[in-house]
Amino acid sequence: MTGFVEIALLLSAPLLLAATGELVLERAGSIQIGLEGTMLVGAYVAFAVGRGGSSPEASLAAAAVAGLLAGLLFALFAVARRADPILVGTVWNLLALGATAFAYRLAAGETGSVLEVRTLPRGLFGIPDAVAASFLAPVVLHLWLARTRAGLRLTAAGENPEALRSLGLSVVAVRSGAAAASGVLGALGGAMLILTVSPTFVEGVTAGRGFLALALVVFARWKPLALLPAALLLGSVTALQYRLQAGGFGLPYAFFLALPGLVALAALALASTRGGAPKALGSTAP
Amino acid sequence: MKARTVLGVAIGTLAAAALLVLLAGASPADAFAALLRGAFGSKAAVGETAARSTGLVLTAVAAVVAFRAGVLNIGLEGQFLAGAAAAAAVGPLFPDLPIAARAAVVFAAPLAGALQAAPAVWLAEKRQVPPVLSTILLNLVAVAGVTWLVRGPLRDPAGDYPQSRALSDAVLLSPLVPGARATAAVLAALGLAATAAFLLARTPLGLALRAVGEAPRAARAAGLPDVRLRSGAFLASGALAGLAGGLEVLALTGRLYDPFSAGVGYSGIAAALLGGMTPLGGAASGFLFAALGAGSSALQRDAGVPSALASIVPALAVLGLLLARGGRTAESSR
Amino acid sequence: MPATTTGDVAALLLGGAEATSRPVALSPPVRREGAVPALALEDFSPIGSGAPAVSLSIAPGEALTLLAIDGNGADLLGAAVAGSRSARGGLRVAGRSIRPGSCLAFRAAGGAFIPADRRAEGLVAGLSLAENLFLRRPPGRFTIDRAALATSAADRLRRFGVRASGPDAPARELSGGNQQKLLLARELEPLPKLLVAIHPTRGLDIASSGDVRARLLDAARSGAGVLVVTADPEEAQELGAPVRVVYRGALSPPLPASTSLAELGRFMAGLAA
Repeated sequence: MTGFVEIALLLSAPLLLAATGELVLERAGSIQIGLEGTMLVGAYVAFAVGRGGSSPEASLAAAAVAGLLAGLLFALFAVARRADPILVGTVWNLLALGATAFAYRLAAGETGSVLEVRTLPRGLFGIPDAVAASFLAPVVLHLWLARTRAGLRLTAAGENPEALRSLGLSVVAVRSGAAAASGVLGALGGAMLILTVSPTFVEGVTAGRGFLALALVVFARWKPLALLPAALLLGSVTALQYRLQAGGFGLPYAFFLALPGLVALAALALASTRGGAPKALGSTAP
Repeated sequence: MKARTVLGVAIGTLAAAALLVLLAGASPADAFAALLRGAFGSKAAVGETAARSTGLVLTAVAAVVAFRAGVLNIGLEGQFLAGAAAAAAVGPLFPDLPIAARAAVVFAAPLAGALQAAPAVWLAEKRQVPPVLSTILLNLVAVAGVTWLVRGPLRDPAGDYPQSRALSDAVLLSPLVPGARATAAVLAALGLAATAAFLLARTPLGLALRAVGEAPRAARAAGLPDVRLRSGAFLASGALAGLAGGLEVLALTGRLYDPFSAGVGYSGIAAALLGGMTPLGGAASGFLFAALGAGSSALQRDAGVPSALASIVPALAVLGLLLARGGRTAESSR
Repeated sequence: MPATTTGDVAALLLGGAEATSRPVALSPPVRREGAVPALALEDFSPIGSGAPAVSLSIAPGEALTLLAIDGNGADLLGAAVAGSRSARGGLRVAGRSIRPGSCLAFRAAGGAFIPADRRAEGLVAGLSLAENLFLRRPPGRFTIDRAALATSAADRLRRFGVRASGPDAPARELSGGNQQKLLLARELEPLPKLLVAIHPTRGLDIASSGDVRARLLDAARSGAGVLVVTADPEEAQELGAPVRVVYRGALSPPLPASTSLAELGRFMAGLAA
């Protein structure tokens, strides 16, 4: 496998996981724009556990637990207490940025030395198995949404929460479950970044990937399978930066830093969004 | 808002802060004293707090202007950076003509902030792209833009670091009181907060903006120019954040470097929320956040508690408020 | 549909109410011949409704009732006239040609609008009664003259019979009937050239309904063109204005308000040839 394709896959996987999680939540009718913060928390926990001597697999699991807690916390605020999810998400980003920086400073002290963790070993396809499995996540979600009773309920919570409630089911419970799942996937996405391509922690290490994942969901029109090509596209665009650092094109490096954001913006402009969005997206639970 | 809510949130936030201080191995009482000393304990400390409040007050007011008109402008960070970049570009043009240089900064920075918001305005009104998404992505583009500018077109050829050429000392705003960092920029920020408060509460334009923000369909049906009002508020919000970035360069840093902002745009939104989505409340919260920032820098120096505390505590306070109040808070708490 | 069932359907629709014929209580409005029409539609149709294009005209001082079962496009047509829905075709308000789909242009030409959903599209729930009354032109030149705002609002609330704790109370605290009266107080002063009112009495109690209808007719008598959209044939009778029934977007010929409920019902069900 050539270097570029490998890097592109490694960079697509975190985006894909985070976007898949966000899609679950948005299909249930809520929205977490603090996905960047959740990814950051996942990245930090994976780093901290890895520094503690645990295996990369254990770090991944620890990040998933942290993500679960983050998702439930979001559900407490934005679903159960019905605070505006946009505001909760904005503040969550701020909190996650501050808290991970605080914790990192405590762990690393004032030393400027780079602290690295062990990365996931390569697996069957030349990339770590967890990364390969990430590409199955949208497929699983697609089948789950279409084929299972729980999947239909989740969709109902996003399309017609009143109807779900009239069946005697709790919209709050469904959306909270979705928030928990999205927290786990978002944190796993952040952790995977640390455990594959950038095995150290710096403040804001996720570099806006959570925001890109948000755009991916809109771009994919809330359809899980459409996340695959979209994430691969943005992952490849991001990979150009790494390619460039190794020396190459004459274009300024920062252009490639800006490129994922520009591509996502262009995609949104072309997609002319509202079509395909869950009808009750961002609504308060009845 | 009930006094009990405020008290509850304040106590909860203080308790959480004390816990963090304990985690960092310091005594909460000592830390609190150090924090207060760092924020208000001397002329220099007060000056530091006031100086830091400029950007927070202005971005808080910027958030209020947009949110009250119903525009969720999460792009203040990017607009702040655009303003700072514009200031770094035009500020050094007239090293011996302070008036001209300052005028150029005060003109260019808001313009750059508004231009940074402009694509989101277009996307919102013409392509129905929610500003929440577009402004977040534009923030990423702005961050990359700063990275490029300080290594490319604006790079100081004399320095070793990737940073822009410095504004001359004659151009930089001088302290209001010798020995304190605060400049006239603070007064400008407070003046703009008061102006925004007056505009929103007491003028036909403010009434129209509040109507569009509260009930866009009703405002439109009543014959208010909804698109123009929303777009205008969005651009004005961008301009205020841009001015914040410009004044940061003109009053404090004197140049652009990378990374330039530690999330002042996001903190401005938090300050606006804590201030009940009013310009004066937002300004007061911004000042409080600035005191916290100045105090926790001292705290890191004196007691080894990481200064990131200054961004955790405001976030906790706002979360506490959201938890206590529940419901929708984007509209005002009139 | 076979002719034998028409009477049954009409009776079904009206719940057997045709027996109670109501007197037309109010005198017919003054019609000023030769004046510029308050409203003129030419080949006008709301976009996306699939309805046929319609043409009609309302003179100043004249009222017209559009009567239809919900879903036949009468409310869409009314909303399109007021600019709150996009449309195509010719639209003139008080002689001024207007680009369809612009509330702004509709208002500028002298139009006023009582929307069907008064909570979402009528009032701004979080603003005060006084602010709602003077959304567009609050008193004062550059700043709002608060004293003038309070006194003129209080005066208007009293004259329109809005029961509230005061002009500073938020609009969301009003009952449905009082919200509608507040909207009338905003839309009828100053007197518009044309008033479009959609389901103006829906959900109101009998007393409030009568009051709202009287205000609409008052406006017509004072010289405004009035277009009322309703789904209630009894209301059409009580308004006393010519009725045009809308069925699948198409207009019936003008019917007198004294038309029997059974006959109106047949038109509403699309059974009248």
